[in-house]
Amino acid sequence: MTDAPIIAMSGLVKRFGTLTVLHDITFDIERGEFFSLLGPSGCGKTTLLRILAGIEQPSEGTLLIDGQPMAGVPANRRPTNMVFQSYAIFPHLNVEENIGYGLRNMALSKSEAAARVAEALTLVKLEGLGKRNAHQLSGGQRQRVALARALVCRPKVLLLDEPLSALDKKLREEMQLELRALQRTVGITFVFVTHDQEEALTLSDRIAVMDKGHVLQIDSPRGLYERPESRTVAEFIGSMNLFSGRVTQVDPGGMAEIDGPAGRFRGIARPGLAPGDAAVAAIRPERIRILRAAPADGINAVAAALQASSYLGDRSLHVLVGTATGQQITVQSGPAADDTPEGGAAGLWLGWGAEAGLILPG
Amino acid sequence: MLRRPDFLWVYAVVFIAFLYGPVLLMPLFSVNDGNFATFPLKGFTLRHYSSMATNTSMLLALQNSLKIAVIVSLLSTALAIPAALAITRFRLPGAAPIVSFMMLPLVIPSIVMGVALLVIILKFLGIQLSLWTVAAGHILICLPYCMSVLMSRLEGFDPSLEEASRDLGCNAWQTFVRVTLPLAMPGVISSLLMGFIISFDEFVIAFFLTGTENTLPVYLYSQLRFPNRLPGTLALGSLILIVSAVLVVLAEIIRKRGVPSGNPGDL
Repeated sequence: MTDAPIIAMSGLVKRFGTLTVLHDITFDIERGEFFSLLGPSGCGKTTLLRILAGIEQPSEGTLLIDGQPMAGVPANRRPTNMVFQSYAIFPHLNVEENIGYGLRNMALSKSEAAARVAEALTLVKLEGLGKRNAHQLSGGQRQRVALARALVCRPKVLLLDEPLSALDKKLREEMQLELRALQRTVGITFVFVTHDQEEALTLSDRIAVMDKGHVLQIDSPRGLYERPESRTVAEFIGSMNLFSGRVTQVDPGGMAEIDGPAGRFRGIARPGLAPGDAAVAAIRPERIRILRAAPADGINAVAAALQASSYLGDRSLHVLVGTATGQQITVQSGPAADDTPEGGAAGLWLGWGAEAGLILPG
Repeated sequence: MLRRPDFLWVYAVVFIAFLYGPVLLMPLFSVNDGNFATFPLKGFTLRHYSSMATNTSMLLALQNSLKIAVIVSLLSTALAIPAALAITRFRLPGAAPIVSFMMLPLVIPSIVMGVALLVIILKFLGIQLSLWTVAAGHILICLPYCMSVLMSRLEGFDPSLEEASRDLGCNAWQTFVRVTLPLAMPGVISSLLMGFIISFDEFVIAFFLTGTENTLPVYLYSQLRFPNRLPGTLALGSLILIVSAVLVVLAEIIRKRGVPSGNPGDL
């Protein structure tokens, strides 16, 4: 059984009245994974998390957690615990009582329960704050209490609903590292909901990108960044330059060529593209080189004029305007790049290798 | 800052005087050493107050009123809690009309209510009038007050607190006892005080629905026929006034205290 996925979703649909917020969600989450649900607000990621927790019921479809069907199993009898976006710290209880809340329904002796609360306090670095009242805690401390309160129940899956969004930037980055380390320590499967793609890339083993109630792609952070399967994912993860056109040629080797107003482009093709299809050439800013003259073959070459450059120490960002289409193109160069254009801002060319770009359905 | 125009101050003073002047005359005459509530005052005395202690029919009426008020405040709060929970926690079809319907006793004249209840109790139910029928009538008019106090409290706190309790292994009842009720406690106490004071002060329904026993306001009214007992009545009225005011202020203070702000996770 241990190789079976901890969570198996099949055909999950959720409707609120006539509004369908989740469409046919089918995927698995593996044991011990740090899994993120990533998408803009309103994409259904929180609803999906609440279905896993048992707070919402799916309108259709089946959900297995650790091999057990979850239909009709209420939240209080599921092997999951949740960290709420608002943290939901009980204001009438102190830190210890908050953390021990879930233990009262377990058959534990008093000393055993106390030991587990103390252990959880240590785990989230809140030793000595057990007697504090909820309103005496800072945002970061509340977040730790919420984490400890969920982890102390030793769930099979920990669900986290944007737990870092209420923290300021510095604290958020600290907590990201801690959260990742914590997950490695306890070895529990984490399902993490976020709208922050950087956060998802930093933390996750795998990410499901969601939009409008659909799962668009499930992949590792590297896979999502380097091999986005759709235009939406390409635009959502990191920054991406897109050039539209129509497919002119598909090679058996997995490469394709498109022709559009900005020029001819060649790149690694999504399977299923055929000549004549509308498509986009997608290229990351750091894969583009700024050239003084047109490349010989005329492929993956865009004539452009420099609009602005900003020096960021470890890298420089350049914003250029395509001569043919007037579209903005972002280029990133390294610290010692000699292709940083000086003087002549017009009459530049942008180029990249065919292996660096992608051809996606557009 | 702009200075307020003087006439607004005058208006405010006159307003307050009209509102509270007549009420404040009552305690004034209750310590007046005379049998008529007229100026000039004849001197200070507390004998109207001390004679109350030996007035057995008044003490009996006080006892009746206290009993009814306690029962009414407990029952109407107990009935209002599940109703307020249902309206604030679930997406009920037709919740808005249901709420307006429950608030109707607030706007129906109590004399209409009293007559209607009298007819129902005597003609349809065939029940003898007693203190119990008074209590039943009082529960009816207290419910909307208790409901609105409790609803405002229950709407005030983060629904994810209850979800968290469920998530941490508590069933619906345990969640109610361990989270909802403690957090709603200021509202519950304020609802109890409201129910008590409304029942204790109520005259019209008590007048219609009581049998042979009197409540305090009904007793007070019956005493108005005897001019020489007027100062005693005023003394009693003054006491009721003071106790009522204290209870209402207390209920409001408790209701306001600890109402959470809109910030998530904030108190």
